[in-house]
Amino acid sequence: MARTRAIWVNRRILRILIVRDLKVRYSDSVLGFAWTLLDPLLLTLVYWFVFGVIVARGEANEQPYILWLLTGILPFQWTAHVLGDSGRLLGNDAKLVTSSSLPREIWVLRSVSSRFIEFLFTLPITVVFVLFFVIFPPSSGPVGVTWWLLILPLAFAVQFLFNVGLALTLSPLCMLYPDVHRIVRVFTTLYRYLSPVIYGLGALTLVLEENGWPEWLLWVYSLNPLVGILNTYHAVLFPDNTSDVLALLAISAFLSVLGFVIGWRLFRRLEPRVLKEL
Amino acid sequence: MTASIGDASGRAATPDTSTETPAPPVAIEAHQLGIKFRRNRIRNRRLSDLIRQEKGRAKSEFWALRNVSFQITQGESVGIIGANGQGKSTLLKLVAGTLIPDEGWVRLVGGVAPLVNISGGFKADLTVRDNLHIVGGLHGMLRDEVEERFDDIIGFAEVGDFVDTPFRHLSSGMKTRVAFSLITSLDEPTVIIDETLSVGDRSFKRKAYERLDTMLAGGKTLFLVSHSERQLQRLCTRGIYLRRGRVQADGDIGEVLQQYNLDREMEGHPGWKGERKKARRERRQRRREAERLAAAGVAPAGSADSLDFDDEGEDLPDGAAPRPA
Repeated sequence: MARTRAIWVNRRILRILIVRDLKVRYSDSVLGFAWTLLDPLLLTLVYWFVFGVIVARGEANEQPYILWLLTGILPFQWTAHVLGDSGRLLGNDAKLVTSSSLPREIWVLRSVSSRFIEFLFTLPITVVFVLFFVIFPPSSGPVGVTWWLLILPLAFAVQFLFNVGLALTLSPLCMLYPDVHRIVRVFTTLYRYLSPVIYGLGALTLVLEENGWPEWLLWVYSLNPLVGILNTYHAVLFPDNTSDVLALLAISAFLSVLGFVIGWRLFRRLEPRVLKEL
Repeated sequence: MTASIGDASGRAATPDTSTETPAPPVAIEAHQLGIKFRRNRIRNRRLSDLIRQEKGRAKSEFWALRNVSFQITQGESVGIIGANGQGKSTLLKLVAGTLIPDEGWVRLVGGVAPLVNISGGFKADLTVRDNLHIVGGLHGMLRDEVEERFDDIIGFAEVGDFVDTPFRHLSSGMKTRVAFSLITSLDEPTVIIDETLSVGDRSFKRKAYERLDTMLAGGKTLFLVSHSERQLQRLCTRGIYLRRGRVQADGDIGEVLQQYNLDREMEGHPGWKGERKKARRERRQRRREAERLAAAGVAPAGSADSLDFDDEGEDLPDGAAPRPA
């Protein structure tokens, strides 16, 4: 509790750090802020070309496929960036970390928060594409925003908690065991395909039916907290994708809270040893 | 407190706190402080070690500090004395809160202005102005306070023309001057100084000294780690002598230094006389190099030689003529 208060007292410093992160990220490159938009946009276009055009996948309820990708990739990038940061968020700024006695959780919150703001900055891409499809309706049917838009803040909150839990767990482990950092890097790539980013739960259900696999596999799959979270994002633009949104998000929320509690305890336990390594 | 110091040293000088007012306000208090480090660089690789934390690793660990207790009252200036590797810097980090002890605790009343690693928080890509706001903020300054003191900080650091220059374009001397100027502008009641601190060229060193003197006169508590006898005697009234991670002596700076020197001689160390000679020789070389550069038309703009407050710092305020640059 005292720790929570210490973090709260230092929230102003947290804000300064986030602003600093954003300033540093855009201060030096010519395109500056444009990179925030270009990065995920290019990534999405590559995925769209490979999986939308060449493989030509995409169920009827995942059309227009570029929107499906955007609603999956943009939030996934938030978690992917946090995973990428977690290996060095204590080590990279070791001088900064060791020059102040701030509660060390601040550095975790800083990474997750500044990545969150970056994610928010990328949302206009989706808005532009939605507007485009509203003005020029695609052959697959009209595009519109569903009421699930209102639940979006909840999805943000759950994903924030999930990301904080991940970073709290992984950042000290990466400092103490360099192997973990490598594992995380490989896992991030795998994770993109293990989560419903380029395909949806609907497509997965079809695969299960075609191969005659038991349906409980889908629930095992849902134990990945990102399933419920990404499913909610998809539901905002894809009304056919709305089955079990709340149930899945509830599972994600529960697992995220669990991960957060475990992560924080681990972080507190490893903190003295991490500081000795810095 | 007295008892614990007696335990640790066996022959400690009387702590001067006893001669002061009955209940002096405490600035720093350490109680049975202990921290251990791993001797080898190989970290425990197996995950099972993570679960069973304390088993089977005792042999590779050593206590860098143990049973360290002391109490520093507000306004005191305390020098930490000891040979290399006896736990001085570790103690400093524990006091500053950048290390967490494995045993005991340390308590600070109010914040600290840490003159340790001072340019650590500065980001190379941002301008001096942005950096001052951010680092000042990190150390607890409000935005208005930074604004208010901005001109003073810049003026003291002598970087008026570089306010909107990216930090990495400053010379290393300028960088340390800006950092020193900012940290010493903090309103914290306790100042912590590491001997490795570097603050730029000779004339700036003199200013730095003057500022430290003003801060001390203003009632700030000083916690200083140093090898330099002169500097310790000049700035400190009390010394804490660390040896093998324990408090060997705690008391009047002169007496503690005497004991330290005695120990060094008895242990057959080359002694710091030799080290100081070597340091002086190196410094002379560096100065010549800087002068040569200056003569060649390259602006040295303050070499970042460490504030080895040695003789130099001592002589300067007495009016040693500044060298023509």
